[in-house]
Order: sequence, then structure tokens, then C-alpha cells
Amino acid sequence: MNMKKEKTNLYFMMFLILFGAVLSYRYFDQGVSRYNTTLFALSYKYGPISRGLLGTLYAGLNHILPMNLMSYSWVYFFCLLSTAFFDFLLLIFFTRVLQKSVENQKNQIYLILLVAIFTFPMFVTKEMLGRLDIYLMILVMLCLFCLIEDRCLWLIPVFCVVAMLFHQGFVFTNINLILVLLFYKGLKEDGNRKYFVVFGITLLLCSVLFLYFEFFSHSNGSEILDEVVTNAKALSASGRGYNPSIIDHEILGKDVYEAETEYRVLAHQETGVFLVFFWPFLILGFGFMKHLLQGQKGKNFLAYLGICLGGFTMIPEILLKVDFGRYAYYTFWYYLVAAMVLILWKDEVCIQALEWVKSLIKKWLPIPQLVFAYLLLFVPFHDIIYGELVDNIKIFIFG
Amino acid sequence: MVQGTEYKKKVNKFIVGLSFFYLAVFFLTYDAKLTIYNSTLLSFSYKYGFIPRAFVGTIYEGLNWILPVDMYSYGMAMRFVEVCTAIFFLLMIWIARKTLLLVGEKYFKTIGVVWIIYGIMFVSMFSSKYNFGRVDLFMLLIDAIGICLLMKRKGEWLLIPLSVIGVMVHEGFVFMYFSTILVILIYRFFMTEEKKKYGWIFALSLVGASVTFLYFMFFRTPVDRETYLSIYRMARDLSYEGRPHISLLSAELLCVNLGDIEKAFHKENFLQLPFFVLMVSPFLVFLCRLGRSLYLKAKGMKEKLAYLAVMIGWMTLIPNFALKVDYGRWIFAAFSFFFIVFIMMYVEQDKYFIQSFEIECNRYRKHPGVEELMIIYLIALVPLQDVYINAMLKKLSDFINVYLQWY
Repeated sequence: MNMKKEKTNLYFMMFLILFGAVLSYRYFDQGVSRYNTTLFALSYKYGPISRGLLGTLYAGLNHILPMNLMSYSWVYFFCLLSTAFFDFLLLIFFTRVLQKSVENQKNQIYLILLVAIFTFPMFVTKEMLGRLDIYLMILVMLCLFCLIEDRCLWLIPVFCVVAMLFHQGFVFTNINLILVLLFYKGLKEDGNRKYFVVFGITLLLCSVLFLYFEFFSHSNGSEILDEVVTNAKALSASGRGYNPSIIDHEILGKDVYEAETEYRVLAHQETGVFLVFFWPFLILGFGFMKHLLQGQKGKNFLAYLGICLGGFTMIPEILLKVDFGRYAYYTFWYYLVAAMVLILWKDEVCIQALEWVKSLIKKWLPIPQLVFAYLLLFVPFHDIIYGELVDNIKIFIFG
Repeated sequence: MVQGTEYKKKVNKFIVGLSFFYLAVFFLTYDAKLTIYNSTLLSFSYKYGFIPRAFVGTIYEGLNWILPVDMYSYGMAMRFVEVCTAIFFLLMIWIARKTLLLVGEKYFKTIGVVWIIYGIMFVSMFSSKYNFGRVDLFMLLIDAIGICLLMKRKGEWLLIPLSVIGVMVHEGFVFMYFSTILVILIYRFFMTEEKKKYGWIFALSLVGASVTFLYFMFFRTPVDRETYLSIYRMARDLSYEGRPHISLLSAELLCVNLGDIEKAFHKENFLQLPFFVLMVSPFLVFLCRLGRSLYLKAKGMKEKLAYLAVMIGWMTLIPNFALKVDYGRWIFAAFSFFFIVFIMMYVEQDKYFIQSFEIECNRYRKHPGVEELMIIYLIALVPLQDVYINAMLKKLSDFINVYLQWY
């Protein structure tokens, strides 16, 4: 039986790698946007500024290596390498999940397929290639390895702090998965306090860093502005461009809320269209949550409540910012990977909730595989817009 | 075999879901643009003589005569193409429903999945700007009408004039879409008792289409200057760029050979094709295994010939691959051949074909996730274009050419 399952895992992973490679290349735009090249110009040599870690590491590499990395072509290559590394980590993660979930192989395969559909094309478009999100995702993967292997949990706060140095938005978009899984493990494993200790340290450090970067890191912005802008221009494809919004927000500490009004209108229009086409998945999602919480009491109830509410950390971003495409992606990523890890941990409640989801899909659709084909039409999610399909329909309706 | 009301409800439910899915694919790939190549063809008409590719333009001319609007504008050309495309999609959905009812509940899943994959291909093909309004749509429409006649087993003699009309729409019909009809006629000739009927329909269809093709290839003459200018002006009015497609006018009206112009495109095609073959290799393995299984199962010479036609009928496209450059269109025509013929084999309830096909499908079905991947994988490869196979392969070939400097 195990031999047969191993063969299934092998075939599935082989096809998944081919599928992932083709899907990634199909949406690969062969370029890095000015937004993302500008981020390489931010560095800790100007002080402990927000989002300065990437530029600092890159400048360090430039110092160590014999080549001059301060050009667009090397930035492009670095971004490609980072994305490839993330995809590699993702495939290793999928392999480990399958190896550790022999009894629930089929469910894990479907979850992996869903994560692959959303993730492979996400970070290769021009807006997303080299975006700070890829480094956050790499660090999230490393945290997940610690969790599923149940080793070196002390590294989780370290990885999360590093992620905060990359982008303080980590507290809303990515940390929820790690914290919720630690919280769940802590409640489920009575007497094992290490999960709560790691949870507490991670939450405390990240909260402090968030407050610092949001409110106290822009004090010397005007002194370093010219140098940062000059460096940003040098790293862009044209050699002359840079993203003013990042400079305004990260260096000068200006509020860009009003400047983003046009994007906000666009994002809200797209959200309406998106919800019309995605409402069946909302029913499935809320039904899944209901089945997780049903009949639970005490610590169990808290554990599953954490899982259900963890995705809602995106709400402040949705209210204050405009990158709805990214938030939609992170919401899907959170719930799918959380379910995957719970099943790996042999959580019977989650397994039953997933079986309910599958039975409802089979009731609605005579050929359930149509779900995967349908979802693939919506990817890749971009930063502000949800994707080409939603954008086309929005243009059709609103002009 | 048409089954009870429960099964009909199941099919209807699936068709509603499938239609919604096709609509989503349409919105994903629809560019709302009619290229000058495709709008130029609407200016060709038989009022100028029996010129090639003028059938659709003649219908367009007829509409201009009947309707109280001036059809010779870009806006009206767009509306015409939108209506024709909608009719085509609705006909395909109707055929999907009909075939699902005919194959029965036992093979509902197999044929349903085939329609999901085929729908991804044809909806994206004829929605994207390269092939929106292309005459390939009308050629496939003729195939679809032919399939309807063959399924109903009524009015099959109409395949003879339909075959001629197909060539009048585009002389490439004999290579691209005619094989689908011919293969089903060959199959019925060898495998049914109505040999005389299908023999005659096959022969007359083949002769009619061949004679029309040979006329257009070797016996047509260039049009005179006045005719050329008249068509030029109408094509200009139909175009969104305000100019017609000069190469098309030169090739079809003045009989100019475009061989030299297309040399660079050939090189791009030859660079893209091996990568495409690599990308669809899982499907090619499936086809090879299926063909081998059919050959081994076939008992007599008649069965072997019938199955041989089913598996190699697509090879009428080889001259296109060798001599012309629209690899995206030829590849779509090959896919279309396989999908339609395989569906028809289930409709015909061919025991050995169904057994072999199900065995091959089960090889993937027994591994969870693999079947789903095979279904959705093709979404990454569409829409197929015209000259270039697809945008991804164009990107890849351009990248490799930076180092090869081949074109």
C-alpha cells in the first residue's frame, strides 16, 4: 500500500514540477518593475530605515563579490534567483507534507494543487518579480519547516524578525499563519509550553518592530533623499526611473493614502466583480470554518477559532491600502496551508471539515475537477488588481 | 443511448456549469479587437468572380444588401464576428449536451472532461485577437454542422455540399478540418453495414472538395486592377487601422507567392515546435499508447484501417507544417481533430476504442492529482495564436534567438 502511495507521490510531484514550470514561464514578464528596483536602493547605511534589509544585503553582496551588482541586469538576476529559491523551498515543503501524510494523501494532494495554482504564477509578473513579498515567503517557508519537523522552533522568532526588517507589512500578511499554528500546537499539546514561549517572543518582537518602522524610522529622510533617489534610478531598467511613492512613504514618512485614491476605486470595483465570481468559494470557506468550530469547547474551541480568524489579519491592509490582489492571494495561501499543516498533524476535525467541503463540491458539480480549471482562470493575482479575468470583466461593466 | 430523466438533469446541470466556465474563459482571453487580416477577408465577395476565401465575405455582402445598415465599417464587422462567434459557441455547447446524452452515464465523466479541455482550447482560440473573426471559426462551424448530421444520422448527404463550402471558406479546409469528417465517414464505411451510403458520401465529398481546392490553387487568375481597388477600398473601410492587409490582398487576389516573406517566421516556428512537443509530451504518450492498444485489439483488416484513420487522420496537416507558417492554427486544428473524433468514437459506442481510452485514462485516474493536472495543464498553453504557437513559446524562442541569432 505504501509503495503504491509513494508511486502516486512521485508521479504527482513530477507532473506538478512540469505544470509549475510551464505556469510560471507562461506568466513570466521578463522584467522587474521600478517599484521593486527602487527597494534595492534603501539601505541601513542611512540608519535603521523601514524596508532597508534587502538593499543592505544587496550592497553587502556587491562589496564581497568581484562584480558590480549595482545595475539593473544584476538586480533582475538576483530577483530571478530569489524566486527560483522560493519555488524550490515550496516543492520541498510539498514533498515533506506528502511524506508525512500517508493516511491523508488524497486530501493533501488536492490542497497542494490549489496552493500551486495560486503560488507558481504569483511572483513572476513584472509587478511581483523581486517584490519584498518573495523574501517574506522564503522566511515563512523556513518557519513552516521548523513547525512541521518540530525542530529548532527557536529559529521562528529569528526568521520573523528578519522578515520584519524586509517589510513591516509581514505582521498583517504572513505572520498570521505561523502564530496561529504555534497557538494551535500550544493548546493541543497540554503541558508543552515551548509553543507559547515562541509565540509570545515572536509576537512581541514583531509588534515592537512594526511600531518602530511605521512611526519612528523616517526622521532623517530629507537628508538622504537625493542619494537614495540617485541609487534607485541607477538600478532601474531605463537607468532613469524610480518609484516616488516608495520614497515618499519609506524615506520621507509621507502619508500616501490620498495619492492612492484612484487605485482604491479600482480595487473596490474589482472586489465587487471578484466576489460575484468567487461566492461559491466563500460558502465553502465559511462552511469549512463552521465545521471546524462545531461542537468544540474550551481549549479546542480557542485553537480552531484562532485558525478561523487568522485570515482576518488582512483587514487593516484592506481598509488602509490598495493591494487587493496580494491580500486575496495571502488569504487563500493562509487557509490552504493552515489546513495542510493541520492534516499533517492528523487533526481529525480538519479532515472531517475538508470531507464536508469535498462532498458539497461533488453535490454541486458532476465533474468536480472543474473547480481546479475554474480557479486557474483567475491567476495570477497582481498587486492591486485581482488578475486579468476580473480586470476584463470590470472594464466590461464599468468601462 | 439516451438515459432517464435523472441523468438528463445531471447533464443539464453540467452544461450550465460548463457554459459558465466557457464564459469565464471568454472574458479572460477576449481582446475585443478584429485584426486587419481578419477584417480584410470580409471584403472578398463572389460578385468579383469565383475568388478564393470569398464565401464569408459574400454572406457579409448579402447581409449588407438585406439589412438597413451599412455593413462596411469596423463597428459592424465587429458585431458580425461577435454574433458568428456566439453562434459557434452555442452550437458547440449544444453538441456537448447531445454527445453527453448519447454516451450515457457510464462515460459521462470521460466525455465531460474532454469537453472541459476542448472548450478551453476553442473558446480561447477564437476570443483572442489573433483568431477572433478568423475564417477557421467558419471552417470549424462547418465541421460542427457535419458532426450534427452524422450524430443524427439524417441528411448526411449534405456533407457533400458542406465539404465544398468548407473549401470556399478557405482552401486550407482540405488540410485542416476536412479530415475530421472524412475519418468518421471512413470509420462508418468500414465498421457499419451502410457501406454503399458512406462510400458514396465520402467519395463525392472528397471529389467536390478536391476539385474546388485544385481550382483555387492552380486555375484561378489574378483579378483586374479595378476589382483589386474596389476590394482594397472596402477592406480599408472595414479595418480599425484604416488600412487593409496588403500581403493578404496580394496573395489571394494577385496570386503573389509569399514564400520569401515567410522565411523568418518558418525559423521561429521550427524553434518553437520542439519545445511545444516537449510541453505536451504527456498527451503524446497518451496518444501513442492509445494507438498501440487499438491496433492490438483490432481483429480484421477493416478494423485496423478504421482505427488507423482515427489515429493518423490529423496528418493531413503535415503539408501545412512544411509549407506554411501558422503553426498556432495547425496545432489547434490537430487538437480539434483528436477531440472531435474521440468524442464521436464514444458516440459510435466503439467497444475497442472505449476500452482502450478508458484504460489509458485510468492510468492517470489511479494517481490522485495527476488527472486534475492533465486537465488544467492545457490552460497554461492557451490561447494558441496564428503564426506563433503561443505567447509563451514566442518569448522562449526570442530568448534563445538572442544567442543563436538565427532570425
